[in-house]
Amino acid sequence: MQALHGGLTFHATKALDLSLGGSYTQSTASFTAIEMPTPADEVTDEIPASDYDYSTIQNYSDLSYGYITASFGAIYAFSPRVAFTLNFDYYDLTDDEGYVYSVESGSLYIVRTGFRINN
Amino acid sequence: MKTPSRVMLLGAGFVTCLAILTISAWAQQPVRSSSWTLWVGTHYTGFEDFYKKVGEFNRGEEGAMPEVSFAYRGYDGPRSLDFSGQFYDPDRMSVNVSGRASDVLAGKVSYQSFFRQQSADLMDNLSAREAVNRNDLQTGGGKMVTHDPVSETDFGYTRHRVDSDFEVKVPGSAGVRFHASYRGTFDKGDEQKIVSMHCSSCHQVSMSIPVDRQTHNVGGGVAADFGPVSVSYNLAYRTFVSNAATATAFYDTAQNPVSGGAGDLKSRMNFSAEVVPFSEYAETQALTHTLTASTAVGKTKIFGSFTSATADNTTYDIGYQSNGGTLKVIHPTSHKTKLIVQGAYRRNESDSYFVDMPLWRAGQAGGDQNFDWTRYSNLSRTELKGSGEFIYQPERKYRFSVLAGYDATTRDDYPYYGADQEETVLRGELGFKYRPSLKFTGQAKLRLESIDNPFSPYGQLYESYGKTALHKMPDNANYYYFQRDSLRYGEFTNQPTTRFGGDLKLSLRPTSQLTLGASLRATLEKNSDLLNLEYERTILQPTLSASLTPSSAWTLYADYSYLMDKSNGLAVVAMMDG
Repeated sequence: MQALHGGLTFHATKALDLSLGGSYTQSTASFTAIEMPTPADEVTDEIPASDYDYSTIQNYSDLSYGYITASFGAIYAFSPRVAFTLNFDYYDLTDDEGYVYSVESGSLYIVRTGFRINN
Repeated sequence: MKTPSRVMLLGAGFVTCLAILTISAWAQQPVRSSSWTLWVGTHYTGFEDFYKKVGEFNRGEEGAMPEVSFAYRGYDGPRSLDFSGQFYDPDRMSVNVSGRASDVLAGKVSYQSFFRQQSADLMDNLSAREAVNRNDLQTGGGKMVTHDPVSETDFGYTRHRVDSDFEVKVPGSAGVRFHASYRGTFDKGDEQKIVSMHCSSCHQVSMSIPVDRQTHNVGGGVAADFGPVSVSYNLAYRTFVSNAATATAFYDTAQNPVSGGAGDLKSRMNFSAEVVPFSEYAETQALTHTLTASTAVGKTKIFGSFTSATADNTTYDIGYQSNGGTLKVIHPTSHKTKLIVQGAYRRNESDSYFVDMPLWRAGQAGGDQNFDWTRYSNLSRTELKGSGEFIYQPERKYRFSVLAGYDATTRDDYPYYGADQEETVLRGELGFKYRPSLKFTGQAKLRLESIDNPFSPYGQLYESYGKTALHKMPDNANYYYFQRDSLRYGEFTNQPTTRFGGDLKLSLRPTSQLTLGASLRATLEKNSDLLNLEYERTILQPTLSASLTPSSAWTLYADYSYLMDKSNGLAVVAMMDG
């Protein structure tokens, strides 16, 4: 797993504050090829219908996720007591292998706006 | 419907009332200063593709939703009141109130809710059937794994959480403090449960089951200082109960999945053609008493504690008891050296449980096997820990340390009843810290552990092929799967006999605007005592960080972390037809 995270804040003017942030996380898990012995003759003779090819079973355990987050924020102060705020948050998950829940790739975004009042 | 005990509800109500009274007491007098913030707005949530994983905790409602939050703070000397809250959507709200009526009385009450959305196991991987022909792998054999289509996939629950705390100092006796607390969590929603039928068909069925879980925690205690001696007593009581009806499922009729013939299959199954409860939540209670004491004798500081705990599964009358204590002594052997000695002892006892099974193949020729058994828990154990650490600091910028320790765990009934198997750990650690100025700090630690007899599954890992070693039962010409338990052998564990590792941390501040950091944690584990594999595990975890403030207007920060966890192991494949 590896994760990169960063951001900045910028006091642009006396009335405007900006912020920007983001992260990327990559998670992977896997088995290397499994070295299976050749079944003994006693086994293959007594169970003739069985399939003893295990060359790809390690692939069942592969997992690979990429997760991105990004955020932007702005606060504009009309006066010391009233300000307008704007925030945008974005989340994206990429599932390259899938699991029992099927492929879970998807994204979500949230936009928030409002007014902040204080005494 | 089950309900929490009256004692628990009384305790929860008592603590919450005390906290509210404390906050109310604050309002009896005017305040000197106050501030408040109100935020009113809206948020819009949008999704693309599969949103259940990426929005597991913050899905919200798709579309626009009004939102409001507020905060208030008033204070006057030792008196203060904080009040805040947020409405995000009907499943996500919070309210927090905390107050200090004077320097002797403080209270806090809060409520928070959120929704957790869970993915559904589609069971698409549960489709396998025995082949009847080795050459073209034509399926049609009697051994199979099947599942019903998963019709419901929306699962999740809303959690409501209530917290309250109350603290009072006894007037005129500043060293005596009482405190009480309550925390309750309430989960409501739906969850996925999967029923595994018996192996006449290995049939799996997914069901949607209501969630209605409650956890209550009530705590309280007292602390006091008597000259150089400080003592405290704490009590914690926790209950868990599920008010949802226990799930039930109709278990398949025991019969051959291909021919439909019943034979004596029913007599080999615990359930057949009947409705059976499954996945039941047990009602539990836990009670913990903790005593602590600390003092100083000259320059030597002594800390001690004793904890007694019980936990009970009241649904099935299974109990767990634990008693233990710790002791820590810090003694400055000179103005440049210090010795820290620590010890801990704990005795845990978990009740055994008798599992009553129906007779296997009851009334059949060569049948009537009794599979009743008693489960002995390997949590029944005695733990002993001890260590000594010597610290040498010749100057402010240098610090050396060396630590040696010994841990022992004796499991009463593992790997078999009365075995008293003992696992011991010898551990050592070397440490060094260098801080020549405020601009640079470096720390390094090396650790080595030697583990004797680490926990391992016992004698049950593999199964010999064939049947030549099996003995036939009286009046029966056949062999059965349960007889193959006698063919099991082998042990393997992912617990090491040697663990070697270290930490390195560097912090650099070349200018007042720039801070840099780097660290590395590395661990190598190995077990060379295993017959079938030389087990190894390697863990590497480096990190980098930087923050820059070029001017009062700008702040930039970034960090990077990497984790590699790699080990080897054995693959054991279960084959059909035994």
